[in-house]
Amino acid sequence: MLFNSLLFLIFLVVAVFGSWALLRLRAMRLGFLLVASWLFYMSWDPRFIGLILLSTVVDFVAARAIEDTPDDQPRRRKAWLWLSLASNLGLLGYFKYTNFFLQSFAGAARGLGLDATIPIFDITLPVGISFYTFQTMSYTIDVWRRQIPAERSLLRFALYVCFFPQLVAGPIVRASDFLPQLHRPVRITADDVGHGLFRIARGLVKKVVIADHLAVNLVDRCFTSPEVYSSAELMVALYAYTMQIYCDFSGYSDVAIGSARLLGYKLPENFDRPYIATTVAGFWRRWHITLSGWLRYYVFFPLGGSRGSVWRAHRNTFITLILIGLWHGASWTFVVYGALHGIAISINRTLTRAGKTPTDEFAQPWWQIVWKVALTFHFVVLCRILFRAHSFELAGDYAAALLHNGWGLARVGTATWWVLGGAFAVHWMPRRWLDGIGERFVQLPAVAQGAALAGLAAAVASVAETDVVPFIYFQF
Amino acid sequence: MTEPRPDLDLRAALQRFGVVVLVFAGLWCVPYAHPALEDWRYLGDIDASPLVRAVRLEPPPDPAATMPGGLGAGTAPGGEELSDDELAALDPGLGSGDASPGSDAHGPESVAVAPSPDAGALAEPVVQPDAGAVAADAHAVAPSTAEVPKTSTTPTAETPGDSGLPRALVFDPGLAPPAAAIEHPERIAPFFAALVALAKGERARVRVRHYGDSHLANDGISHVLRVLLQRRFGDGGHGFVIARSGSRWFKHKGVRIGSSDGWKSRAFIGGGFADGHYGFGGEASAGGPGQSAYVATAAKGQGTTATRVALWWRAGKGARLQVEVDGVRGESIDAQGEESDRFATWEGLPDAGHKIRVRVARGKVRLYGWVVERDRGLVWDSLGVVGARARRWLSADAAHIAAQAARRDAQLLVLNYGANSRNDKISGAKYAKTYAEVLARLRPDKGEPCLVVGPGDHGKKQKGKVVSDPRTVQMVGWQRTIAEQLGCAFIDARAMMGGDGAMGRWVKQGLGWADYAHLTPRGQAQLGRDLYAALMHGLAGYLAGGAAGGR
Repeated sequence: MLFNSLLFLIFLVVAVFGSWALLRLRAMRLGFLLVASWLFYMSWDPRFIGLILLSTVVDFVAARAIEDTPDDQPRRRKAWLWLSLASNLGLLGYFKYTNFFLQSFAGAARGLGLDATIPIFDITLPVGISFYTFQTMSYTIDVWRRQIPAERSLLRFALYVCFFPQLVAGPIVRASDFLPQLHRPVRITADDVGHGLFRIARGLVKKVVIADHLAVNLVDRCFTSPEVYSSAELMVALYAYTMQIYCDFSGYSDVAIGSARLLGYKLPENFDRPYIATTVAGFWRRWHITLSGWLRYYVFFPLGGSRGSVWRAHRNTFITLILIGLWHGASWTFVVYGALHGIAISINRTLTRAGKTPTDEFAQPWWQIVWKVALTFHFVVLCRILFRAHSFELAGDYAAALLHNGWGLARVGTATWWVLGGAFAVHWMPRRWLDGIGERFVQLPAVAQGAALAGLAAAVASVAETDVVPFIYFQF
Repeated sequence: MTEPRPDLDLRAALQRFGVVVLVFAGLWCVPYAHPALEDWRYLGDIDASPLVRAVRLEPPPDPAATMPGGLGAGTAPGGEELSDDELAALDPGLGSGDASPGSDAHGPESVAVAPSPDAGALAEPVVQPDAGAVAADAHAVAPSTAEVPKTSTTPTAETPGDSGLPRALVFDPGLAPPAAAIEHPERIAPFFAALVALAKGERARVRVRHYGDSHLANDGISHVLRVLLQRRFGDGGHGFVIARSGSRWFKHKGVRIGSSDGWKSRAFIGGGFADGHYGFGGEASAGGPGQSAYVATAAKGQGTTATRVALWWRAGKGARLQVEVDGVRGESIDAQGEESDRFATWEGLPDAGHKIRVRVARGKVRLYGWVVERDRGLVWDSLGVVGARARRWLSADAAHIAAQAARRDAQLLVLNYGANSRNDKISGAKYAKTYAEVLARLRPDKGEPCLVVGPGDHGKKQKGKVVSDPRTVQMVGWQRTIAEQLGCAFIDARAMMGGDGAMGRWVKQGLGWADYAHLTPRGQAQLGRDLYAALMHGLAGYLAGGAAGGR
């Protein structure tokens, strides 16, 4: 059940009304949302609900045991923590990385001249596994660190693990952000309704109008047969893919945040206009914020962060970025993608240590901002070749065609130019302009809001490239 | 457990949300009040199957059906593949010769012929030292005949229809016309004659070479044609398949191919090999020591057995291939002399499943493709390359193409281009000129009859509605004229799909992808079935001595 389907809108309306009707019966409301979330997840593939239940029970039990074990028994506490980490990483490793490791092993053996025939397993990647395993791991780690108390209610914890708005593609919500909300009475105002609806509408426009149009009309074609497109067309396709993946993923996050707000909960922001970043590190503070934040808290800082020697800081950055790359997909292209970003951040940090970059990235002359934004943006754009290609061969073909195929732009349609140009214009416009549109929508009478949304939905449906196209980040 | 009434504006929130939902739903129902607003009726598009599946604990449909590029609408209806039995059931019931589910899937329905070790031996210049061993690495040009040696095959069980004709040639008298008939079917009469001879057991094999672009590259349409025709005329094997493709959209059914990762694949459409040698299928893969590739018969369905496998390749100076036949290491193939095109054939194999793997032991090697065949029956070579335009064949080496084509005689050439060329800035006259040059290259001896299949419908959004791309309409017209000029028969695939606005309707029915250009597996099955119906209608007309299949 995709967010950009009519079925989800009906499902959401039923969930909102049902949740509100049970507002004074907290346990019933939580139970209702839990069942709705399980049903939502099972609409993808009911076989994998067992994995979520397993992860829920293991982490619930492990966290309670960690909390109940005194600090003078560190081994026992650590054993429970390892049980939680092993179960989550085991699930993730098996379903997402088994074939990757096998193929890498076979490749290495062949490189050594050995005749290695490795079986490839037909493993279906459960939707959302990369997101909910990271959530539950953050919970047990925080409990182990005694930063949050263990949740005593299995009902609340189960809802935290599988809350449907963010279950399959984030944002990755830390327990310290969400569990306290489940303990508080829910308060919903008319403004929440307006803001939630506007956020959902904004997400759907990003997904259906921009991301799907760019994918179908340019990006997919260029990445299928780069050799038949000109260099200029391939470059435009890279810009288009950069915008497509942003609109696709941030569109999903918008719908998730808006839906949660209608239900009375606040999810963390996941994007902050990433393509205005002046450094690659700044880009990762604005792109998939909850993932980069997760890895900063649970990988980068425990490794030592930026403390210690310069090389140690570079090493920690490099490891963190490689993990970010690998999180996105079980392929060496993603590893290299992460490594390139790690190298770029390290170079930037070296320059920063020379004492040139100010704390506020926009507190510098405009021309410096422009060229730094342009440089960072094009680095991100070119790295997207690896992100999208999924194989070095295709990435190489794309890069070669990008350099050698001439300058015609005949196959970039007029509508694509408008969509791409409009999307970048909105992305780079002052934030207050977009916020102003949202505030004006919230202030409208309910009838006008309904009419505006119906009109927008009809317009979106009429220009939609298809009935339903899955979100890119579901594959991660 | 109850909690104190929270300080909320629940009433206001409920009122606002309720009004918004009611207004929204009400406005979306308005188009149902008047037929003029029919295009704005979106509520019928609600697909509740995900929730139904969740409640019933049913697994989702096969996620393998994706668009080219991998970002496809995997959940779109119609994305599922059809099994070969389901495909066979698509035979539009042209007559009593239809295959029955219980019939031998391999043998022609008209004549059940005992496999003969030397049937078709005249087709390739090979010697057979040992079954399974490398038979030859021949360089000589093969004679281009597939007539049955007089002593090789003897029908053991004829199963004629009521008319006395083999059942494969019996059609209902009141045969309904296909969605679009072959125009000028008399121009491919030699092909129909070959089919008749095949059904009567007077020849061993009929081959078709089907060239095309992305619509053909995943073997969707051609697999349907192959399955349906082979159920009727006998399974002659999968035919030629390129050894490896650089496109993820490339896929062949009824055969298994695989390769290591170090090959560099290049197709005739994009260049990359300075000598212009891209092989019979138009895409070749270059590699060095350590690289390997294999071909195997299908695990199930159509194409599970073969009696003859060949590797078409190009050997660099001093190149050596290590060969493994059905898991047993065989003799190595050593290329003597200068770099040249070569053909290794494994002949006289038992009619069973086989797997042949080659590994480059020394030198540089370029793989063109594999041939997988059986002794008797129909062979449909599917030669699709993603992004192909007919004129790009002119960038390949003409002598090389001629030599490759000469080794693979065919009774029909099908040209299925135009979908990509519609976007090119080129005049009709120039397009016709290059098309004629391409046909001359692909058919150097001008002997084979040819069939031009016009591009299917392509759609584009216009004011919220999907309309036919006018450039496709223009391309269909050009190709019809070209077919006329070149003496080829013609099929209007766009008309077959339903003419104006067809792609929009096909997308809604789950037969087309959201790019309004490509077909889903079910759409490909539909078009393959329609092409098959047109061919059989043409054959029925040929048998009747008239032009029932033509206009």
